[in-house]
Amino acid sequence: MKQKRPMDVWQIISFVILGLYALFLILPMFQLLRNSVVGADGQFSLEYFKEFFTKEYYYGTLFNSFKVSVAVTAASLVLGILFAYFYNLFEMKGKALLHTLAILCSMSPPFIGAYSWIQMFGRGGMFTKFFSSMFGIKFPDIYGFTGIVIVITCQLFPLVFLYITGALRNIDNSLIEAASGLGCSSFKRFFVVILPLCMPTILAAALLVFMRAFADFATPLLIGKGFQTFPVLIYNRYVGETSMNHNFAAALSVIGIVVTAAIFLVQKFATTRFSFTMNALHSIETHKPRRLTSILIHFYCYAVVGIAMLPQVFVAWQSFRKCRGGVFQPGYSLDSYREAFGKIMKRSLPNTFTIGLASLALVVLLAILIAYLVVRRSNAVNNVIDTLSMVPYIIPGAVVGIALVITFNDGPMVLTGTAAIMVIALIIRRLPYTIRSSVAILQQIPLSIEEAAISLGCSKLKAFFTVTVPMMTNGIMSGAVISWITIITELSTAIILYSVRTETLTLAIYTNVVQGNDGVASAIATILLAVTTASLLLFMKFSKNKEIAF
Amino acid sequence: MSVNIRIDHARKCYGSSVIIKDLSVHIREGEFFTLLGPSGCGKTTLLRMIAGFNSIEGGDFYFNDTRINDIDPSKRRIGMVFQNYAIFPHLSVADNVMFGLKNQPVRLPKAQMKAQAEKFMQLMHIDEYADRMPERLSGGQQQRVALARALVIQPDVLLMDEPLSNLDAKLRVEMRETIREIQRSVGITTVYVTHDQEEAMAVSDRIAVMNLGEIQQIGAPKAIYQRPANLFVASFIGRTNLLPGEIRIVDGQAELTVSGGYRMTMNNLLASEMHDQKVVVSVRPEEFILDTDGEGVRATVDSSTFLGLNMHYFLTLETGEHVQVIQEAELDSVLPEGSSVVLRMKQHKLNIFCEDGSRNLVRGVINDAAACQEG
Repeated sequence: MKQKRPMDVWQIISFVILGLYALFLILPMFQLLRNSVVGADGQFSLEYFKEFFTKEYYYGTLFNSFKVSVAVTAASLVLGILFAYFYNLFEMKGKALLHTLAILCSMSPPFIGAYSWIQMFGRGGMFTKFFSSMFGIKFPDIYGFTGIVIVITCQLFPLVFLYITGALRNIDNSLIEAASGLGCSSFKRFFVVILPLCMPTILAAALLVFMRAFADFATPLLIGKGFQTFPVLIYNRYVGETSMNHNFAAALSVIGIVVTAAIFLVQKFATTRFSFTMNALHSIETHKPRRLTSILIHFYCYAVVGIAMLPQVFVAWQSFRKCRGGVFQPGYSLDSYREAFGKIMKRSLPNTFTIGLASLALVVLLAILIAYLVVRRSNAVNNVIDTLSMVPYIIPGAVVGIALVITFNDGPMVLTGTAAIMVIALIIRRLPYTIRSSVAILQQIPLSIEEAAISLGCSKLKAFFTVTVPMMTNGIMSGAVISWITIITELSTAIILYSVRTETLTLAIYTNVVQGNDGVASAIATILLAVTTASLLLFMKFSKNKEIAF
Repeated sequence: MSVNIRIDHARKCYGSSVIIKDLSVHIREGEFFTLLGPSGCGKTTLLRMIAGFNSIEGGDFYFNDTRINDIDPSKRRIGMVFQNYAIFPHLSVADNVMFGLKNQPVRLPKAQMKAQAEKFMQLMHIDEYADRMPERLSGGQQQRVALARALVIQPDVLLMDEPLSNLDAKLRVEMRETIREIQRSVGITTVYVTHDQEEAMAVSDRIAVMNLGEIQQIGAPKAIYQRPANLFVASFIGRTNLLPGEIRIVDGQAELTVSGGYRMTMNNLLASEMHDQKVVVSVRPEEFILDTDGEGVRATVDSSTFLGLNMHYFLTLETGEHVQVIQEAELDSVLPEGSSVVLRMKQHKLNIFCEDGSRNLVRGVINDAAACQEG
């Protein structure tokens, strides 16, 4: 005999969240798909797909994107894994500094790298001019494929480093000792013990790097010149289609989603073959290397981090140079800042904070609720939510933007041009990451803690907010800091959705770069860098375990 | 205020798999009642149904005359102690103990809450750690906090789910005495879950032995140990040797033949079982009498272990069965390996089960489970 129970709080939350996903994810994706198969005459047609796959100008961009992504992934893995290996297995000077700098590099706004590299090594770049006039050396061309790969790699290998460092900390020292006891040399140990043990993490990092490189849109836009990648094509088509129907852009978006979904599935399949769990009682001990080895290791680690930091340092330096009419003059001044503040104070700075904080608050709240539903209330509805929550992970940023525009620029809900649509886009993009980290945290908290609270007289919701949430705080905070930084440095979705009223700092930098106001662009970029650095340092000062969750 | 607990025809299933089919049990007011059984027997499931953390698929649960099936766990007035203690790690010891007081429907004035918490912390000897964070407490101390936290709200029922299984052996013995003492002094109806039969015997007023979602026997520790209701209870509680045997009625007397030929006349069989049948005889190691000659079952010594108070002998009977025998250790004689001995049995202590093990044929079995099932 089954008794009907009244709906409990969590069931109501389930349905509300499902409704939100239906409105802001399923509906836009459906609209995207529908628009992609509607011809100019309003009838069903696959003409856009046909056009894409028959013209090399179009499908070539897909190959270009793959080339870039593969090259970036390979380079980032090699650089990052070596860096992590040296960092975790050997004694080194200035480890805390290296670690902090690595985090800073990985967090820098995506297109500042490209912009800065052009300023340094581009055609009129500072170093290009300096070296050619002093020594007559001509640098290879920074534009195109090489430039894109250098810039994106510089930003993504620190991510690999942070991931692998986390994995290495989970390897028990006794495993290494056992291997050497069985006659395995330190060189061989790296390949037969350490690398295989890190494999799940390496695959996860590879996927993340690949996806980011594939979807990165600002870097190739700035530094790509004739080398057009797929996201740039989407953006150009979107901007180029002046009418209100974005059918070709929609078709391109659908292709983009199919490609990233395929990559995601391949990675998932690969990961299942390497899954095991580890928990280190004794973390790996660091060894003092021989003198020569030590010098080489120090040189390598500081060199890679130095190169990755270079663009940001350069931009900051440039922001203090005298600049007149977009041309840098000898000497220093704060003119760029004066001009920059005049431009951003009114809109983009407050916008960045209001839109950023609103998105962040909602992301954290939704992530906690969804994580709870997924971990503690596993049922059919919540499994659907779980799957839906991971969908945005594979949708490139520009595609999210286009889908939202298509859905909400007419009909009962018009949101285009509002801050709301920016917030929605940022939430959709950031939520999967925050949910994953919240799920991981929640899985570590035994259910009985909550039951204890209930047995002591708490209601379900109160038990959740007075006991479970405080216990999750530390983990949530680290996730929130990363979310905050990615939100305020986001460009690829915002560039499609923004209007004059909702311009943010990243967009202000972008417009000034495009307009050739290098002084102002550098100054705003430096301000943004300062905000991200300050957020990160503040977090590291107050966080207990200093771990960063991505 | 303490209550009695009545569970009638409880049913629990997850999807299509039935964990508890039809279980009834009555727990008396103020009693220390233990659910004992191997892992997977449904004991924790039943406890969590009483607590309200598991749904109830059928049957009625009563605290006194109040049906609690549809009452939210937070309103059942229970105190619960968890296997992993479930101490709130972000709250100090004092705040952990106060937590329940702050969440009661009728809140006491602050000063009174403090006094109440203080009283129970003293009772559990944790008042000196009041301001500590839980991470700086040992397992035993955390257990005391958990107990104080559960009791301070003066619940009607105390529920404990394997509370000692994470402690080391010595602390386990110490804590179980503490728990028993506190339970006596507070006089609260307590339901305790464990898989450790020694622990169950040490603390309980009555024990319910469970297997495969069914209650096998309910009774006082002594009753269960000495007169187990069936073969499962006999072998789960304490150690025992099981030997094949046969009952034959000769001249109105029951004659038991054990393992190949040793014969005894039994005069404590149930009247309803007075007919010829094959049986299983349960002989606990201490119920053997070891001799070097005379009448009995012939056996050879395989090995022996000296355990201070007792000698444990491992023997092989001439019929091939292996048995364990416990004798009080004497100063002189230890039987060497390979020596031949003769075994006799303390007849009045033996338990005799029907061939499938479902019934004890001996008089004097006390099983409260039968009464519950009818009620």
